[in-house]
Amino acid sequence: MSAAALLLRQVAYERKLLVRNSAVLFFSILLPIIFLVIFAGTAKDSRVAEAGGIELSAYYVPGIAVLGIVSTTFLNLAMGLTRQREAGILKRMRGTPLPSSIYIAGRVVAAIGTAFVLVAVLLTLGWVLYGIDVPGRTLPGLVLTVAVAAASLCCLGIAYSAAIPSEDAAPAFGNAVVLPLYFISGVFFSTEGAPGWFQTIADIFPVRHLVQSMLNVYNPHTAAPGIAWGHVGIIAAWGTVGAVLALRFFRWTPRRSG
Amino acid sequence: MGEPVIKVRGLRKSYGSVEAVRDIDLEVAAGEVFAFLGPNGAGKTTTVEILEGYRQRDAGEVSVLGVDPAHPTREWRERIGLVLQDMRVEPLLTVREVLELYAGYYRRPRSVEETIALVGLTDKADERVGRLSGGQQRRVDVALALIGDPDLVFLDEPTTGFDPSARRGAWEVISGLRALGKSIFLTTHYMDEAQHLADRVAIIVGGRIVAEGPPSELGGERGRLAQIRFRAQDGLRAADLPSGLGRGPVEGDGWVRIASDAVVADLHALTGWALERGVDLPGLEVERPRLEDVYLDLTAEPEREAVEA
Repeated sequence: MSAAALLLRQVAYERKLLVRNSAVLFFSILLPIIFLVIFAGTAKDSRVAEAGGIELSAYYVPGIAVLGIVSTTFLNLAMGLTRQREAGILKRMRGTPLPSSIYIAGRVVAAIGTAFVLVAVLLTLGWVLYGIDVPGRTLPGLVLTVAVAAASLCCLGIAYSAAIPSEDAAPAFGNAVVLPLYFISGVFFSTEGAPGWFQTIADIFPVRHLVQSMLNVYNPHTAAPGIAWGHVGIIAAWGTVGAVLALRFFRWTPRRSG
Repeated sequence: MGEPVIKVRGLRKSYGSVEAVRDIDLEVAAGEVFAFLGPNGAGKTTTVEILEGYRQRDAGEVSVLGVDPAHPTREWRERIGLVLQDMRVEPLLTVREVLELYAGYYRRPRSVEETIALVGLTDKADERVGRLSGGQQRRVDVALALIGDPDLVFLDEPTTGFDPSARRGAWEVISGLRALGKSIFLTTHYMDEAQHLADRVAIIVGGRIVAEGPPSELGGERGRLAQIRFRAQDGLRAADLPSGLGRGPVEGDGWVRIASDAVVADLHALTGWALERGVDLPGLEVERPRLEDVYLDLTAEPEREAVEA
């Protein structure tokens, strides 16, 4: 079987696992949808200056989309790979002729695909429920942002799994990183009134740049093609760091066996 | 006999200041069932994981199917099947789905249905792996190890945690593998398992091989000699017996015992003598040496040494 055919099989396998895993389905896909409905639904008629004076409900759509991207890529891989490593599933895979690179690529491609589907669902809900749509001219910016962010966050998730000691610790390790970043990056509420040092810290991390890039896409004043190169570039740089760390520290065998 | 499937010379591995494996030599011939025994922490797992390509060695030469496992290739992985303690498959897939997935990783896989039948899971083929019993999951492991039609199969404690009937079932499967011409490298805690299945056994203690050979020959003289015995009574004393029987008869505890390394010939001579004299040999039996005794002797000694040192 060719590498491409093997990769397609792996993606189909990951998709099958996702559909059967109700916990992952709930936390990484259903929860962002529920958040969007609740947050945006309770925030009608408020406005946010940051993204060109858009309605607060419109602010939530890209914010929750960011949450969805992070959970389907970074959290999904960091926690999923830890579970599979400790359960010996990765060790078993490693013992087959399947090239490791194709196994990892299968996970990454499947996660990026899931991120795109989830973003599409969230944006469609935003449009149907709240009448907020992405201007057609910034669509290239949207697609590029989601693609680069999803790929970069996958690399970071793979690298981070190496730091998580056990399956039990995985949710705590994941949330300890992600929840503070959501808050300081303006996923749940705008941080435009926050002090400068607060913004400086937030600006170091990729989630803030993902939020900015998504807001740029939604901003009705943004010109075509809507690509915020600075933000996308910083996200990609984080992804590169993640890839280097993953290559160096990722492990296939359970930690408990030493 | 062609090239050995596994050849190890001077293998060493340390973790920090702890020498887990100290200068090991091993050789496993094609088609052989080789059992690797040792207490926990003896260097057994380290050695096996080096052979499987999961761990790097510090020194020595290792060849598995002609390849250095420190640099595993895809072709090499095609020829090796693994059943390891700390390996699982995704519990959310059915038995058939898992085997179909893995079959796709090999160029010349066995038939999925045949392989499921070989491990006796045909009626569980559409059950999710996570819903199977522990013994059934182990059989899925065996099926996955075989799906690529490997030349060499590593079995790491394949029956640990099994009830007696499941163990018998697993032994039959392993005997079946031998019939398929596979070479098998088996680790186990159970002496009867090694005795039942293995052509050759090596025992590792404290990172060194302390004994190696066919199960019947391990442990030198004590391990090799069988005991022929019957109840002692008047006219059936050690002194009454003809000369030249085994190592000579010995009497004690109401039994006459003859240590023998040629059981058939000695039994023939003994029973021939009894028939001639028209006497019975009450309670006559032959006790084979038990590998367990040999193993306990061997594994106890180096520990004592270590304490004295």
